[in-house]
Formats: sequence, C-alpha cells, structure tokens
Amino acid sequence: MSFSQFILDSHEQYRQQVRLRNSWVVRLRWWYLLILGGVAFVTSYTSTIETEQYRKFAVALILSGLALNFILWLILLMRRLSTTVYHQAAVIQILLDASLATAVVYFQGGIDSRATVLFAIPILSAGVLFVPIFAYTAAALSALLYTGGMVLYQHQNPGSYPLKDILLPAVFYSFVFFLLAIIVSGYTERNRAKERENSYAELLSLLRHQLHHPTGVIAAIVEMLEQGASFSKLTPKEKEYIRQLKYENHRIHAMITNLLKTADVDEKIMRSKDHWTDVHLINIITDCSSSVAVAYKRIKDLDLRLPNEDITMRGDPEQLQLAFENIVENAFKYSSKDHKVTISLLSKRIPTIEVDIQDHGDGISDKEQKKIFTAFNKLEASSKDSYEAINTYAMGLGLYISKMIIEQHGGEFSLQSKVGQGTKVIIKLKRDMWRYYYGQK
Amino acid sequence: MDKSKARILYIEDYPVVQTMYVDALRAHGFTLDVASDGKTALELVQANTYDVILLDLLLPQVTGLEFLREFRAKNYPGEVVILSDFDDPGTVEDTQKLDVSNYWIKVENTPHLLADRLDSLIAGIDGATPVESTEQDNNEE
Repeated sequence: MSFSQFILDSHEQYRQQVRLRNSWVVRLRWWYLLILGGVAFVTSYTSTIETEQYRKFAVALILSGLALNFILWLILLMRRLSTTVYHQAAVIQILLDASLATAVVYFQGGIDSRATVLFAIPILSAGVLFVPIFAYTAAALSALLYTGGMVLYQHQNPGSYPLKDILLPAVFYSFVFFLLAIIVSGYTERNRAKERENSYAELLSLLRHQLHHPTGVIAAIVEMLEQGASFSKLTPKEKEYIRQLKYENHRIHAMITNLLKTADVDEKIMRSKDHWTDVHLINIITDCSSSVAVAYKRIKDLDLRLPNEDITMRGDPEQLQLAFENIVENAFKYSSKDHKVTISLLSKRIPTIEVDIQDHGDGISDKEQKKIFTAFNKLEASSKDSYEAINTYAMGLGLYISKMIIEQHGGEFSLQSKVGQGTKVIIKLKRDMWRYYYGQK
Repeated sequence: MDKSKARILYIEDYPVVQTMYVDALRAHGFTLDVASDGKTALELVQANTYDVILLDLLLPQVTGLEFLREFRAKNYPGEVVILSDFDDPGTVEDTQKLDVSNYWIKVENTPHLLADRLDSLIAGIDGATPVESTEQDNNEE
C-alpha cells in the first residue's frame, strides 16, 4: 500500500461524514422523506384500493418503511461508521428506498402513478452519497422491484391492464433508471477524483507543519541547553545524553522530510498526465548532473557521455528532473572524491533510451539492495539502526521516489552493484517516436 | 551595518519558540521588536521602519504569507527572512515571488545559529538607512 493510499483510506471516513453533511442530495433526502410522509397520508384518502382495511394496511406499510428509513438515515448521519458497516447500511438504505417507491407506486395505481419519479432517490443516494458504483445496484434493484410491483398489481387487479401494457413501461423505466445511474456515477466519480486530490494535498500540508513543528522546537531547546550557563556543570554522561537527543531529533526530522517528499511524489503521480509536455532529456540530464556536481564541488569527477542529438520524450519535466537528481546525487554521495561518476545516454534500439549512472563508490551489498526499494518497511527497520543504516534508508527513499517516477513514465529502473566496485543505475525510457520520425515542429 | 543599530522585527506565535529566539538574539546583542501574530506585525511595520523582518509563516489572524503580501504591496523597506518549520517547494516558491531572499528552516537555524547567520546578513546590508530612521539615529546621538 502506498503512503497516499494509507492516508486517503484513513481520511475516507471523515470525508464521508463531510459529504453527508454538505451534499445537495442530503437536502433532497429530507424533502423526500417529508413528501413520502405526505404521500402516505394522501394515499389513505385517494388510493385506488377499495377496501378500508387494505387501505389502512397500505398506509401502515408506507409509514413504517418511512420510519425505518428515517432511523437508518439518522444513524448514517450521526455516527462515524467503519467503511464496511457504512456500505452495508447504504445497501439496506437503497433497498428500503426502492421498496418504498414500489409500494407507493403500487398503491397509487400502478403504472399510471407519477410516484415512479421516487425511484430517482435510491439511484441518486447511491451514486452521490455512497459508492458511485452502487448507483447501478440501485438501478437494477429499482427496475426489478418496479417490474415485480407492476406485475403483482396486474395480478391483484385483473383486467386493469393487459400484461404487455405493463411490461413495456417497465422496460422503458428500467432503461431510464440505468441511464440515470450512468450519469450519476460518472459525475460522482469525477468529483470524487478531484476531492481525493484536493484533500490529499490539504492533508499533506497539514502533516507537513504538524510533523515538522516539534522537531524545530526540540532543536531550539537542545541548543539553548547547550549554550546555557549551567551546561559546563553537567557530567560527561549528561552531556552525551543531550548530544544524543540532538542527533535523534535530526534523525526524525530527516525521516519526516523524506516521507513527505515521497508523499509529494505520490501526489504528483495522482495528478499524473495533465502536466506532461515534451521533455528534452539531454537538457534535463545535463542540468541536474552539473548542478549536483557543483553542489558536491566535484565538477571534475563528472563524466557525461551524451549523444549529439535532441532526444525528446513525453513526460513531466519536474518529476523527471527530481528522478535524475536523486540518482545522480546518490552516485556522488556514496563515492569519494576523484572517483568518476559516469552518466551516459544510449539510444541504440529505437525507441528505447537507456541512461546509465555509474559510480565507483563502496557499492551496496545484496542484502541492502533487496531492502532498498521498500521505502516504508525501511522506516520501521531504521528506528533502532546505526547511522549507516539511516544513510541507506535515505538513499532508499530517494531511489524509491526515482523508481516510482520512472515507472510512472512507462520506463524501467534497475540497479547493479558490487561491494567495493560501485553502483550502476540503469534507466530505460521510451522516446517520442512522432518527434523522432517527423522532427521538430 | 552594525548589529546593535539594526532594527529587527521578529514575528512568531508559538510562545516557547518566541522566548528562546528572543533570549538568544538579545544575548547576541540584537535589539528587536516582537509580534505574536500577523495583525500586530502589520501595525508595527506601519509605525516603525525595520531593517530585517524575521517571519514565521503559520500565524493566527493574519498568516505570514498574507502579512508578506501586504508588506510588499505597501512597499515598506526592509529585508524579509522566512523562519519556518518546513520548506515544501510550493511555499518556498510563493515567498520567492514576494521577493524573499532567505528562507530558513527552524530545525537548521536554532537560536544561536540563527543569531550568527543574522549577524552576517546584517553585516551585508549597507548603512544607507531610510529617512525616518536617520533622524532617529541623530536624536539618539
């Protein structure tokens, strides 16, 4: 499960609640319950049902259904239910809605009844308030109950209509129900996608502050202690404790930063292809590798082997920049000065582009390699680990981010490393064939 | 510019953090005004001229970013330094658009470290102070 998935799932309950409070369908539902009550009342006078006893039965049936519906609705609104229970309650609600609509239509005179419009309620509720796909369940249920109800009506009141006059409207209404379901679920799906994206961004910015704030405060407190007048009076052991506190705090800060960086990438991936443009790969590789080399003051060690042609692909330039930056930075970070970092771009077999980033550092052991891409397993493992482990952890997250981005762009990411000989990262991407054959516009 | 002459406005709402930074900065010989929210800060910059403004971003009433927008819109003089808990690219970009040259993260700028950095920042600012403040200096002398 990705970080974003985890966050979104735990946020889902809250958003369900917000949705239930704010949606226009909720207001519609209150009106519906009110109107249905009115209909039940009117039915008791105007029903086509002849016998008094039967009429009373009809009203009692509708009213008790209504009461049940109302109670269930209140529970849904008031209580924060777990997702599974919520879905079960939603299904019951849909069933109740559709049954009630059928009952009203039945007592209102069968296919002539205008109450058929009530079937829109379960479909709208399912699609807008619950799970969009439930709209189809609601439509199917409505179609089934409606047809059943009408056939029953014809059977109970023989001679009212020939069977074919009942089946034809039943088919027609079923069609209308499904059409409504398609529209409603499509509309909701789009809204939900936007909602997810927004709420994730919102939550991230909240987390960013909430998680980073304490580490800043602790760092300040530790420093104030160290610089305070009585610090010199502490025993060496006590001074060591304070040093340890400072170190642990920085470790937490680094972890949070990395975690949020990963989450940022998650967010970018969710936003996905809207941001794609033509990317000039050579420019990106040149820019980020030289800026990293300058930052490490090792411009001499940078060995760029790039072809003398413009290689374009479709992608998100910011993301690709981040991906290459992480990899190149790792290559510099884990190799010592005067050891070359070679970055080469090969495009032997069209349309594959291969970018190799080779360093001559310490390399990564097989055991560490296995762990390297499991960013979040790493998080737990590193809580008790040594300083080196934190470094590997930081590297793991960087590479994890890069791998995600490359894969998002339909590419492949692999790593070859031998202890003592260095590490080689191989990235395979696809170039834009249109550009390749037809050149620049 | 000499650090004892520099006028600094420090804006921070979190009491513990505020106390620590104020103590450390004063111990280093800085003179500073303090605001605990964006609204008070706006009143202060209206009444006084500052050479450096240390600005936290998450503030009650008027946020740091809102303060900064207002500050730039009114063309007040003075250099703004952001002192924030986090440095996500979006926020940094927003502040850069409002002409903020320094974005410092708190965890890396603990009180005494901040004092040192502020020292070199102020040393870099030339002595050409705005009109009102020159008068003030003369009065003091």
